[in-house]
Amino acid sequence: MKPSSGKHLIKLCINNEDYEIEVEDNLTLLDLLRDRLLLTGTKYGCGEGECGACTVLVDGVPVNSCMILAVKVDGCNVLTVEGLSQDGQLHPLQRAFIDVGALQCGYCTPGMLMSAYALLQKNPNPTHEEIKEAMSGNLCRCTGYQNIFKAIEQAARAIKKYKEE
Amino acid sequence: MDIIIDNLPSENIPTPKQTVLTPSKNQEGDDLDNRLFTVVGESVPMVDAVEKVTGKAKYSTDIALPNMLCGKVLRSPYSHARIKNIDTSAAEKLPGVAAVVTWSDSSGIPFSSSQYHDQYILAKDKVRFVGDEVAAVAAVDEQTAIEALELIKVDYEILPAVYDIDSALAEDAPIIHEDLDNNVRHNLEYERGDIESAWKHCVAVVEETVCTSRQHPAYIEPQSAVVDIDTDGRIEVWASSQIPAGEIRKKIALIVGVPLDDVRVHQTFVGGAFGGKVWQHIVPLTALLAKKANQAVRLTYNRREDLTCTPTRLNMRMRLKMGADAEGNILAKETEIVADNGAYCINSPVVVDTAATRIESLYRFKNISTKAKLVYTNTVPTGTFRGFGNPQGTFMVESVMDKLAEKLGIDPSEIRKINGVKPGDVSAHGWEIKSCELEQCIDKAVEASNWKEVKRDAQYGHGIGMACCIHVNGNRSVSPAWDGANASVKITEGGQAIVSCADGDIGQGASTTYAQIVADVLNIPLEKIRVVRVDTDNVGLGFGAFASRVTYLAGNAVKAAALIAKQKLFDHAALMAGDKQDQNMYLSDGHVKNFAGWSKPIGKVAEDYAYSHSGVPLYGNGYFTPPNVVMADFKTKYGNISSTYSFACHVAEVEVDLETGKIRIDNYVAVHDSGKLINPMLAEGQVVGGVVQGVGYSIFEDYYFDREGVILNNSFLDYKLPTSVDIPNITTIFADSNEPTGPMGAKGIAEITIVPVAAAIGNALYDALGKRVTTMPFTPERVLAAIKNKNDEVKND
Repeated sequence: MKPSSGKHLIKLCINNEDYEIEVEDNLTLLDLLRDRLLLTGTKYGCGEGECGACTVLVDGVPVNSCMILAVKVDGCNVLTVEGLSQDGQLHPLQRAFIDVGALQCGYCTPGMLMSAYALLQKNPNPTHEEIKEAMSGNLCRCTGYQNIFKAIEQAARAIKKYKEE
Repeated sequence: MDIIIDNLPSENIPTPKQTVLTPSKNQEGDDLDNRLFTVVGESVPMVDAVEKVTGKAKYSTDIALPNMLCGKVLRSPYSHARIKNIDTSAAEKLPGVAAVVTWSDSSGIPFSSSQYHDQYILAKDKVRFVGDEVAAVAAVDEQTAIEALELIKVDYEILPAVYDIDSALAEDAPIIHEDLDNNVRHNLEYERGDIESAWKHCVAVVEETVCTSRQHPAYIEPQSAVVDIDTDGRIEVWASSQIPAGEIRKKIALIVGVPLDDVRVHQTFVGGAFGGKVWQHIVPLTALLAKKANQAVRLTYNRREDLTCTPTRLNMRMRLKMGADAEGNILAKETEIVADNGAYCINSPVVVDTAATRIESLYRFKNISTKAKLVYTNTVPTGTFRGFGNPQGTFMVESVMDKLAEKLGIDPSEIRKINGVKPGDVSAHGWEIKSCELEQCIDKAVEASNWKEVKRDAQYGHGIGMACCIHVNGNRSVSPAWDGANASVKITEGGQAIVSCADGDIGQGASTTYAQIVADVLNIPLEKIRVVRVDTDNVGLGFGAFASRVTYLAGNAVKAAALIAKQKLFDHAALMAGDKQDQNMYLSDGHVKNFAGWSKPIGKVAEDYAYSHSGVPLYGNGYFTPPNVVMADFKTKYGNISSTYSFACHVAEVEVDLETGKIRIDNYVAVHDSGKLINPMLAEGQVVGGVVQGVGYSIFEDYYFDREGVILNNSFLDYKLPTSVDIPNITTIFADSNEPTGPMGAKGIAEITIVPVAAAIGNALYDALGKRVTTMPFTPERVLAAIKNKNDEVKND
């Protein structure tokens, strides 16, 4: 952590809510979310962009929020795990993770969900190999990944079915 | 007046009305074990899954209190040095610093989870590994805390150091703990039968030396703790502990120097543990900071810190000689183990004992000679990790078992069946084998893996291998004082069942297991059940979640508690109905009913019960004491330490890239005997997760130190965990099995899943190459060396 040399006023939209916040120039997006806004669904795992536990979407793109400074997301749209479910309804990915047992301790789950969400936005019908590849930046020490793949496949089918109806 | 006492939560009562389940029969002659379960046996989702997928679950890293300080630790940059002086005065004066602590701020008492109390919370006069804790600070923010660390002046006298067991055992090696004359902390030595004469009857004798690697639990939630001090000076802790109501409380009290009653622990959600959150140095250290600051403190290790200074699995060098008669009956087993302890003991003496003894109860060994020693090195301490020494011991025995089978011309699956323990056996260590479907596990693994066809058709570079194992369901030897588990089930006016057990969920799904058991006993839907997280002010004593003890011991306790709650519901309903015969009451659709047509919702009965007991709620307090267990003999390790045992057989099929030495696992079959399953989906999740951790252990994970003892791979970039693209196709199968003393027939599953993995992959690798890779992990370099060796042999022939 490098000492801060000053503060900046940034405007951003997090989970469909607008924020105007004064941040130090050394504050990461992860710390902004967790320490300032108490959005602790996004997890600290390694602080070096290796584990994916802090994955959030910035303008639709999955990023490790520990590796990006808060000042860099000025004017951006940020989606965190807290913004996945809407009107009290779980997102199909959340539903599928629950139903097929794609989680155990749950600590990597928010990051997994955000990477999976980004994948399905870009590629609504991913193959098994595409899922494996897309999730390779998110470490899980509990599940062995197998059920995570299954959950993403199930969610993709559910979303497709929903769109067809 | 005894009614009032009888209904208080379990912690407060000396009541005789609690119930012990005996193996043959439950109280009230309940036929629970024989009826068709409605919820137990179903793959229901985890009861806390919604909290986890919405980000609402609060882990230790997420706990935030008003005015909470930030903690930081000053660590030794040297692997071995004497501390001549620590000057904290400048750090203490830095604005924003609330507390600086060193050894003298603690009780000063050395501690350990083993019998060898060799560690202080902060270094007293010596540091023994790079990362050893020297001092800690609490400040208003992270930046100030880091600046304060830089102001602490430590005067070190650097000492020579050793980083491997051979250097540590050398005659002129520097002594790491000066109460010893050398670096050997622990010796284990025992014999069974008559090994000298047994060798004479062997027609085949084989020998091998294997080396296992260091593995870090690498939970994704790093070590973290929050501690507050209340107005009475009591220490209140939030930690993702595996042992919230167990040893951690005692250690906090001991280290901070306060009475045990002054420590209250809340178990947060646990973001992965795997044994790595049994002993948590960080928890008493945070307590020490908070106590001195008299203010809330959060201390979270960053990942590099976590990998540098928290305990790993023990690496061991193990020599095994085994001999058998012509039919494949193993007659003699001689073992020598040297284990690398790292700088402090923590739990490692017991881990070495386990590596030596556990697998000796998998087969019908009669003549055994075992020697093991635990050696200090100037490296990160070792400790508990899923399997607790059993993966190491199993790698050794199962590697040599294949060698023996080959020499005798017997199929690896057959030699294991010939020697495997069977129900009713008493093993060489006095272990009483009850339910045991080892043979079924082997048969199912052979079938599911196409064992015979793959073996017949395999080309050079392609192979298949097998390994079996045994594991405990709790361990009586944890404490001389007692063993078992307890739980309480409270019925609310709304008809909910609130379940509380000191052996809390560590992410593996214990809460779900408890809820399913209660749902079946009370015949109410899962939605009506809440399993509360552990708060030591409100639960009984409990050792915690380790030794695969939760499903069997705590599951039985929860069942006992629910049965008592049910009986109380029946007794009170009988009073309400004016019917003296409680036997004719039954539970259905959330109602207590009798056959005369009387019916009331469970909540109404519970409410009426409370009204007639001055508000005391309807509680069932139950406990379970495992039958037939004894403390293992301290020296010889003889004694039945677990009421029942779990078994498994794994088969790996591998493809080796002969150019690069890279291993690809094509198929993996894991067959387990875990009794009847409470939740097949969660059980399968344990298996797949354990196998993948085992794949990491076998192929990727190890520690590398430079000449100064600095860890070279203390990040997830360099310490490689299996990712989504590294995992094999895993087939999970469960043997038809029933453990009559288990809750609804169940046995444990968590740890055993990782135990045979390295051995199965190692044996497959041998099958592929005709050359054994005896050192873990099986890196491309080692595999290529084996290929080269083989090629040289072929040329020389």
